[in-house]
Amino acid sequence: MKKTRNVAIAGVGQTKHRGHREDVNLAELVSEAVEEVLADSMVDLSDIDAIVHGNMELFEGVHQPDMWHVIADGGYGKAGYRITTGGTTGTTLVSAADHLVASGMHDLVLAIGFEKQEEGMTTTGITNMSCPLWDREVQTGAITGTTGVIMMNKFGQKAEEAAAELRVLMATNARKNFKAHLRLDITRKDVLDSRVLAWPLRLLHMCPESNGACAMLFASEEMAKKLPQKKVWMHDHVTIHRQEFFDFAHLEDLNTHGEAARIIYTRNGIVNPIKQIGVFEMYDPSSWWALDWLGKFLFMENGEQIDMVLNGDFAIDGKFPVNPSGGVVSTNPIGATAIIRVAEAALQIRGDADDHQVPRDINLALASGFGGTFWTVLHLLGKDKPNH
Amino acid sequence: MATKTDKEGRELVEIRYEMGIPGTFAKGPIMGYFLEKLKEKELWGTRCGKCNNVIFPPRVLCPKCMVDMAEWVKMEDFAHIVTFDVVHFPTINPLTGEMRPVPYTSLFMVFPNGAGFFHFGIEHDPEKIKPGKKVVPVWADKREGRPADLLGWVLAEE
Repeated sequence: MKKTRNVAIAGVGQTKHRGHREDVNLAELVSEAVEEVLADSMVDLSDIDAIVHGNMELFEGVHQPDMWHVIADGGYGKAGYRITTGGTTGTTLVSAADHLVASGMHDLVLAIGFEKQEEGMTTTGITNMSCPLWDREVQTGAITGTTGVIMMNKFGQKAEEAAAELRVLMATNARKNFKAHLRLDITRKDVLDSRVLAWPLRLLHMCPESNGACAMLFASEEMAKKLPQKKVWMHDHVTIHRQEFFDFAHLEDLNTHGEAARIIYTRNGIVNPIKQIGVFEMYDPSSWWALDWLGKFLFMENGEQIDMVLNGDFAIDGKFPVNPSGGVVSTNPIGATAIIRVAEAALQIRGDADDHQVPRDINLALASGFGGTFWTVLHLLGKDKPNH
Repeated sequence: MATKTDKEGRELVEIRYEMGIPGTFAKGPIMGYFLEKLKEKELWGTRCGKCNNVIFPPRVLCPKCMVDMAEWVKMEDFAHIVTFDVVHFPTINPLTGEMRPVPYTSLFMVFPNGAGFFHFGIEHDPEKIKPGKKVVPVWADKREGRPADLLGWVLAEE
């Protein structure tokens, strides 16, 4: 990616993500993440030039929440805008903040993603995105087992075992992350015995509805030099989507993850992602999707990732650690979900992920976002400055 | 107003409400023609003159080539299943505000001319629904040029 100047992540802040947060309203929830990112970066609100702010407004039914949230983020009188791109909202916020700094327009940009899913009705919000003249009538929202059906037909029972094992791994990781929402102690059998949502997708395969916020601070290289926190550098990112024109009759057309990965790897000299990338925070709305998508991001056309899951290769101390945070199946405040992937990847590079830290030096980390219209945003972060 | 307390016994206050949002959607000439033809139990798509792909339901432009669609195409009265969802999680139909009865089935299908689409399946037993099986449409007795004119798709007798 061509950039006018380098951009660093100068700080990260997150709430504890929980199923219930009736003790705070939306703005108060956002303020918790903002206070943490200011403390982490040792920056004052008055130093920030611009704020990008995002969630899925239809979910809570609060439109233009950024107007209300100036009491939480100090946005009064500052530049900025609001972003809503579905599941990818958080990663799009990161892309936007990166552009605002890289372009030279601003030196310090705050990105905030949040969602309070106990308020409003998420699935009704999702189905409202479909064309009202036809698709909305049959839209099922994010509850879909179609990938599971395809994988079961292609790889049989082993795929079902691996999807369940992947969920168990995410639970094991989430128990090490006190900010994760679901920190379950579960077995493969528990997953396979949980109730069917849309066969073969079961309750424990699926992400929860969480309440939480995540904020990240992005700085120009010049500004970053003045700030005390360990730097993580924005290396590259790409967005690929199909909007409403995704076609299940042509499965190859749905591989936006593979397309994004190919671009990122090619532009950054990555020929062996498993060896070169130290950790992957992948947007995994369900364990079935996760199982399929690992194959897409790693170009495994014959289901090799299924054996890798069963071998434990994606564990925190495995060959290619995936979602040491516990992933989206453990924590899912949607407008924050994708920015949490980038924030967690940054913490891993810094070595600041506490009990869920990958036990080795990480030079490069990958973070993905996903939205229902086959929309992929993929970010590559690094410990060292990129060579643009 | 409903009042709850947290674990420490502190009072929490929530406001509960239900929203009703009456809506009107303009059909436009392309979807207008498509919806009108539902009354005659006919399904129509449009074909791009450049890439030759058929899009169903029809669109005025091909999103990939960004050219006007060249012609209307009457779809066959059968399709084949690509994949499916039998959904056991109740959700609200945002067009009616009513809860969908569960289970309900979403079928992802392909017409013989290659156009992919999704709609309801009448069968809810995942053991009976298989990718590759042939399905035919089931129509409402009274049709008004609305999406609900097409009730869903049922497995064709073999």
